[in-house]
Amino acid sequence: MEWWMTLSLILGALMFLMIIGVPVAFSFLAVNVVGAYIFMGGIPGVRQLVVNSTGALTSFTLVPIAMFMIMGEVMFRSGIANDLMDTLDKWFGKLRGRLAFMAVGGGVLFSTLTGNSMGSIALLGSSLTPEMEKRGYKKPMSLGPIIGSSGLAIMIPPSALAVLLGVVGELSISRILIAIILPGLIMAVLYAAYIWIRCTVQPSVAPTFDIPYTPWPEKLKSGAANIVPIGVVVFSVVGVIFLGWATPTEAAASGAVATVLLALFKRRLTVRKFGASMFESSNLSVMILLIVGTAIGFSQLLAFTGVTFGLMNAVMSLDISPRMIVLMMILSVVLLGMFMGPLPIMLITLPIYIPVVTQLGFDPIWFAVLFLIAIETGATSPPVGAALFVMKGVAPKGTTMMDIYRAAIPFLICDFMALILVFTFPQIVTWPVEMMFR
Amino acid sequence: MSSIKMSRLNDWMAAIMRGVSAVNLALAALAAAILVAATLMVFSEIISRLLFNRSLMWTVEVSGYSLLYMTFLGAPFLLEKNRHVAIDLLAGALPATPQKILTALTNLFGAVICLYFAWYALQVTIDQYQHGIRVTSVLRPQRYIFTAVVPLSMLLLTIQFVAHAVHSLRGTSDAE
Amino acid sequence: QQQLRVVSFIPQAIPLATGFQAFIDGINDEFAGEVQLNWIGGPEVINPFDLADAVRNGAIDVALISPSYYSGTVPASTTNNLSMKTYEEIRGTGYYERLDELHADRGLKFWGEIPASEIGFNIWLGDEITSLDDIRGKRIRVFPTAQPFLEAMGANTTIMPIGEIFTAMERGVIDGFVQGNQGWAPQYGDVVSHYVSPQFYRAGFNVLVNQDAWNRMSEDLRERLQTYLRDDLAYQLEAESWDQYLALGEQEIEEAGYVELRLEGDDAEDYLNQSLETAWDLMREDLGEDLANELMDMLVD
Ligand code: NA
Ligand code: NA
Repeated sequence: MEWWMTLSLILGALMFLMIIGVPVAFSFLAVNVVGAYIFMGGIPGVRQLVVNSTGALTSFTLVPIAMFMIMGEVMFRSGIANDLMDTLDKWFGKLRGRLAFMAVGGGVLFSTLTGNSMGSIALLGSSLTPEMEKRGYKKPMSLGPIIGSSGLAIMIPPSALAVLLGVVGELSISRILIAIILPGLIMAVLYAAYIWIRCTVQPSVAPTFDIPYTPWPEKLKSGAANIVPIGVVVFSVVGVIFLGWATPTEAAASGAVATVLLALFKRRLTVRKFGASMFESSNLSVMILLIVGTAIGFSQLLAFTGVTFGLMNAVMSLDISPRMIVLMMILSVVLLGMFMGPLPIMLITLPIYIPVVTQLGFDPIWFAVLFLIAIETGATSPPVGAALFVMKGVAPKGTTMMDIYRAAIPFLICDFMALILVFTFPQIVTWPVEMMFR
Repeated sequence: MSSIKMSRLNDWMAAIMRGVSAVNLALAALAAAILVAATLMVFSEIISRLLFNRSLMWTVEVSGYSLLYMTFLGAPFLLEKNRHVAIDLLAGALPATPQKILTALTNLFGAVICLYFAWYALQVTIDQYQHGIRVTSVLRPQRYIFTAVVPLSMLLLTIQFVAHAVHSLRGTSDAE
Repeated sequence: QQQLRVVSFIPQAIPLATGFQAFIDGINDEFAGEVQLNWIGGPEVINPFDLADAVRNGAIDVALISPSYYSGTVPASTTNNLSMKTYEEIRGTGYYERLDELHADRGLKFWGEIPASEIGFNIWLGDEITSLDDIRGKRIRVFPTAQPFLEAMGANTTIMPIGEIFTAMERGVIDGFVQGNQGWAPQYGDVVSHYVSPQFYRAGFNVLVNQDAWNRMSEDLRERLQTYLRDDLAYQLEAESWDQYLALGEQEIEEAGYVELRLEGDDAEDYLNQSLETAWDLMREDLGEDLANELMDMLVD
């Protein structure tokens, strides 16, 4: 069989199963089992699949994913996230678009403690939108900033998806974690710039309102109590990697322990909350890891059948410039993101894309960052970006999906600008990495 | 079949599912306990290295094994609660009856795949046990210890898929 | 014509793989029309540590693998590294026939070896080393065979895939590693600064075949395949395949400016003896006194 026929058959079967509603992990498993039977010599192939799948999950490189989950769960359940919002509230004075800026600020702060965006969107949505409605904010300035900034969770460490990218693409996880920080901050700045411009041009979207005056001593006290400890947690994840004290796995463990200690120190962690956080972190990890385990089997199947090799040669012999190829890959990720979740997209495309990028001579870390921005963009893009549905869940009654789509689009444009910036100026990625690693 | 027999069958089914459900929950709790233990273990490695200049390198290996156990132990509970990531675009767009039939079919399909995989996973486990095959690593544990969790998990997943299919055909909601 | 699917424990594109290509070409030329080896890939297809199992299962037909990578399946396989002899010297002892039997016990066919006796192993370190005492307490990445030797020198050992060594060195997760001297220096920059020589052990890569696939072939063909690899091709591979590779490696190490801690005379002899003794001690535990001693008599003078 020609490689492209094999590829269409395997991918077609996978897509079919996913679309009729077979859970993603079991769609992968089914294709792996049947594929192993057909292409790897019948029953022996299936037995090998068992061996491969246990081998794939027995990897300490995947361990951070589970521990990053602990950080996010503990932060939200113990109320640390609420404390952060309170502090922001005190620090942001009277300014136009105040609540929208708070959404971006909250998105950045939360992103330093959580590795997936669902928690951020739920918390920002439920804590800020009622106030925004009350103050007469229009939907583009209430829902938009929340949707936009929630995605920062995967762009600023800890980031479960960044770790996964490193594992599946066989790239240095430490480097990816460092490389995403600056692009993440650039995205936050772009969001803030957009909010400022929109509020200036069209003041009616975000009416100003009087707020009680917070004296400086109280601002400082609140900052010291709530923001400074976060610095310690951030250090326990990113700092220890910078300093070469710990591997990404160890950094994840120290981040998890630091978050729990912080919650204990603030007397916010009851036994019940601790138990619930651990149970839920474990559930979320299981959900992700089962997909990861089956998807690794899937990429081995692709390699075994010669599809990876065939596809790579075909792309390499295309008569367009290498940068064009990279651009097309990135756009394909955004497009897929309109219909699928981040995990399946990463796990289907990375085994094919990374070898091509490396072969073309590009810095794979640069590509990884572009890839993550594209994933983040896709997760917040219509029609079925997962974040949008979470937003719908916490938005005020009477909010339609159309309201949410319209609110999301300006922030998607910001994401595209970030993509173009990183694509045009790879230094945004390579410079910090070079600084930190020698 | 008489209605009395039918209802007795239903009682039996319900009792079995309660038992399975308890097992699922217990295993999910065990998975969470493993996660906590693994986190503390890796953390103790950093502390030991930074403060006492002594490396506990076995933690790297054991944390990998923890992940495998955690994943397979926790999977059946998530399926019971319908929490595995799925793309429900098509099912969501269908009218009620075709939707029920589609859900039943996808669940039965899941059951077949999991049962098939469970069977060969069991054979691989037995083979590894009989040949005394070890993991190639520093600690060199017996490999069947880790493979064994796969058939267990896959069997529970099979049962859960069948239960979902039955529920879906009967029209009751299966997510509590 | 028999089609056999081959997977190697290293990627096809790295310098070390040239010797594997020579093996594939050698067999395909000699047995044209009878046997065809199709090398479908490396670690991207099957995890190197699962490769021997894949051959046992029959998911693939042939594996080209470093002996210690499947010590979990055939514990005696490791012994292949534990020698300072050449292929020719070992060939005369009946060692390969004995390996044949030991593999058969575990459901594998041992076809023969792609020898590379000239390749040995050094200890590479990120910090200055002035004597072997400096290794005490260091965190060293080893392959399973070298573990007891480094432990005996007081190191903390770990096993990780070759691909993770660089990042681990760079981040200070490990202080050094045991490896041959080829193919990596240009990419490693200054994460390495010192190394210990002489080289210890020998390299050789085992060719494993699935038993059913092997038995499908006629007895005459099996006989000729085995004889050709063990008594003809192996000698060619050992003599011709590695020269360029070794020269390149030495040049790379020189250009990288790594500082050598060269043990001389008695020190060197003690070092090499200890590398073998510690490993064979472990072998006696794993294989039992009788088998370990029997194999050691063949491999060590
Ligand atoms: Na966004
Ligand atoms: Na984050």
